[in-house]
Amino acid sequence: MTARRRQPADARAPRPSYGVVRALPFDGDEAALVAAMRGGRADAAAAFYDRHAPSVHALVFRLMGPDAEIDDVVNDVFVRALESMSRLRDPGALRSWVYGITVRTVAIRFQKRSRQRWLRFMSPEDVPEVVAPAVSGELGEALREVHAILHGMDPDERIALLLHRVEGLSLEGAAEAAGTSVSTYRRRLARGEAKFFARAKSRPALDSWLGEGGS
Amino acid sequence: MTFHEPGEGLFRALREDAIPAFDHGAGRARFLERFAARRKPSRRRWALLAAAAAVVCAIAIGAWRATSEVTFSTAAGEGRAGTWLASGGTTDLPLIFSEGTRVVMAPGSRGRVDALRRSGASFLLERGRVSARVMHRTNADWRFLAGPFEVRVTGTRLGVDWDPAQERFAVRVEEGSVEVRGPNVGEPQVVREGEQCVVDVPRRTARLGPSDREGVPEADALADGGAAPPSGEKPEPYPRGASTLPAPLLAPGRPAASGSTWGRLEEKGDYDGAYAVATSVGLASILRSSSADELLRLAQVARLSGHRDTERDALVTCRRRFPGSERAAVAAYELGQSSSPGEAASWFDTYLGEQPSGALAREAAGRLIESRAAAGDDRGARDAAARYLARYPGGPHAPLARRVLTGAHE
Repeated sequence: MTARRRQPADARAPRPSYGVVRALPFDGDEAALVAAMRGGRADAAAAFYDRHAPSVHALVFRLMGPDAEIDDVVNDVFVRALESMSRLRDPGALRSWVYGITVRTVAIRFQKRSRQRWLRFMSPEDVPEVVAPAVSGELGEALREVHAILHGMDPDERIALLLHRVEGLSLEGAAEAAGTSVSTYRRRLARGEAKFFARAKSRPALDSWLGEGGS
Repeated sequence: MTFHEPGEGLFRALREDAIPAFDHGAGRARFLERFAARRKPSRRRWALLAAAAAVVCAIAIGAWRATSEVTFSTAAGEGRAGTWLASGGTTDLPLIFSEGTRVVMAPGSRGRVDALRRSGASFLLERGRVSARVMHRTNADWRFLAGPFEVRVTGTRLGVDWDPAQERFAVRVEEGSVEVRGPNVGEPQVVREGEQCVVDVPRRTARLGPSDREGVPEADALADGGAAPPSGEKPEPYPRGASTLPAPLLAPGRPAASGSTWGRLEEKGDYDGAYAVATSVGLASILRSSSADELLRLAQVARLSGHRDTERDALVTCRRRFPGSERAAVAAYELGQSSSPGEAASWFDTYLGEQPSGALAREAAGRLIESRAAAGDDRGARDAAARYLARYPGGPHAPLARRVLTGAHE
């Protein structure tokens, strides 16, 4: 056990090879990972972040679009996950649990922005910085227009639209992730689709994308 | 066979859009720092933390009560000011406010909590009926807005009816007193406990007299801690006879469309079923042959069942087939409600042009300010704000109008 203790700096070199102890990456399944995190193991926490951060980041990006606050929201997701880990009933469903937290964290961020926008009546500084997508040409122009439309939509309707049409979730799965009933979700989706397409029709750059199946 | 939905290519492009770089290392370090900070406290620390938490909670609750604004919830969760609320065709919609006030929207009513304040809230009744039991507090300030009428309350039990189609308004007071402002009632008219005030705007009549029945049943039921009684067993809060009180526009049994199967389903609040029947009958046929009232109801069915394109078709058809009618103007207002800001502004403008003193004129004038500002038409928004303040200086959009005029919203 003494080999695990941190050595004083002056005692580190020369370091005998047999005295080095490296922490192996956590190798358990999701249930074991949750149990280890609840037990305070930092290696499990690191593994939790490593396993889920890429998908959380990707989902946040798809829901928010190019946005200066994406990293901040990802951080919020993991803080919320950490704070509510003790309430996770089915550790085997960790991935879908994190997915739901991510969706709700994005929704909360949108709502917060809406409130701030209302308080200051949509002053330009309230509008989050939009970073132009890296794609150029016709596709890039179309994506910029799409993100502009999405930014102007009601947060709940925007999330409903993206979960179903972009993430490909079923109505039931998307409703669960959004924390609503299926009927509420269906209404949000219908409104979101109607608004999205109504606004898209007025943007020439999207003309060729709005037919059956798009281009 | 592969089914392609409209815009699928666009959503596929979004799905496949390159994910920007992410500073995984920095995020991981922040997360692990947070994780390390959550070490399990010792028993003594727990005790100290609990004691500190109790003190903080006591202070926070006191401060919160003194400074925070009222909140409200519905069966669907926490409510938000500005969100439109609609009760079902046969079911109540209770709103529970954090300081104890209960407001119940009767079946077929539409409205919204317009503003939440520390001292109370404003409820805008677009159509139908609400009953309320307002908690009496020092400086309580509750307002019920219905068309051109405003009811100010400091603590009471009351019921408010508004039928925008007939432009008929009624308020009935069971406890305390209220002040009513609006056409034909004087400025302001005090209505006291046991009294009711009924106003018929087109006939320019206002009747203040003793209330003809006791109790405001919906709010009473909630105030006692129970759920709202089944609507089928609930006594009507106002008598139906004598035509002194308005029949809510969406109340079951009104003549328009009730003969059709989809109309009957709509009256029961089964909007999905009503829409399905309407499509099986043939939307084109309904649009071609229905009355203006039926077209407005079809628009509502389409909206509440999530078919916004059909809603728009019904409203546009109503305007095309019944030009110049009051219903056509209502269709313009509804089109404004469901359009993007730029388009919405033109619809609200249309309503005001066609019905400058209509039942929805004040709301349309306010929404015109909102939509022009949201569309970036600052000059138009200022113009609308000036006209709003000249006509409705105490209206629900007056604070916004003043901010627009002073540039404080920018």
